[in-house]
Amino acid sequence: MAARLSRRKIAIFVTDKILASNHQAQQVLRELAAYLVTERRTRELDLIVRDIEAMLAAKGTVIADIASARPLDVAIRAEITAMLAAKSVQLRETIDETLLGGVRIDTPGKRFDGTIRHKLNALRAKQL
Amino acid sequence: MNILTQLAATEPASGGVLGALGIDLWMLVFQAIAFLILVLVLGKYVYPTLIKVVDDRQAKIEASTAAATEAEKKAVEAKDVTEKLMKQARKEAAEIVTTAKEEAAAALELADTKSKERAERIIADAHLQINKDIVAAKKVLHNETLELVALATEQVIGKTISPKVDDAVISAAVKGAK
Repeated sequence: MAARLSRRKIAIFVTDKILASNHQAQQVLRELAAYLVTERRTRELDLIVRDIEAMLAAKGTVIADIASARPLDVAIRAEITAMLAAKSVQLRETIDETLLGGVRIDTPGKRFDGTIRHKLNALRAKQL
Repeated sequence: MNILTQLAATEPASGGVLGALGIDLWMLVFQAIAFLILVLVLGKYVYPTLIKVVDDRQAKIEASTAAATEAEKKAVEAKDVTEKLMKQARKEAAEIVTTAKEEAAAALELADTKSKERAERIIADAHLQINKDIVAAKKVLHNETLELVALATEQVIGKTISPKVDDAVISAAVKGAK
């Protein structure tokens, strides 16, 4: 019986495969999902995905989660891509009206919150 | 001259002088003897008792008089003593009143001092409490103002922000993050 692979090894393997397949990740991710189901490690999925994203970011491919109150304009997306300063940037956008305005950008290991909701919360946090 | 001598000197008319006067000699003698006997009896049995009673009465009166005199004397002495005691008592009472007044004045002064100190302490405590309340009220006001500003901003922005303004906000935030 094969030894149990560590999360890090799985992440490195999947990252290399994705980069080698020229960002055609669908097949690689299907294989990963099949492996996790077979090995009954589906509960580690989120952690493994996070590790993969971190490794992709380290190798110049940043996957950023963008949250805003409205759909982003093309120019804004370009500004965000430029801000992330990576060889390749992929944006995962979500709409959250409770943010009121502005944008929140989550990248592996970093978070930038420029939403009005965050500013209002910061204002509330100044209560004595 | 004694009338009996005159009568004896006169000659009897008939039966002598006594007869002229209507006096029975024998009766006279008898009465004299009876009188003497009466005097003797009275002198032996009645007069001593009477004199004794009188003497006793006199002795009692004298004793009473002496007692009264003594009592009067004692009363005078008692009056003097009483006056002396009253004088002493008045003096002592005056001293007591003076002492009491002095003590009352001292106690009043002490109470006045204590009450002033207490009042000053109460005022100081009140100032301290007021300052604390002011600070707490300012804090509450500050917090409530922040909360109200946040709520009002939230309400206003939620209804009024346009995509253009939102894009401007995002652009500014992204530029700030660079």
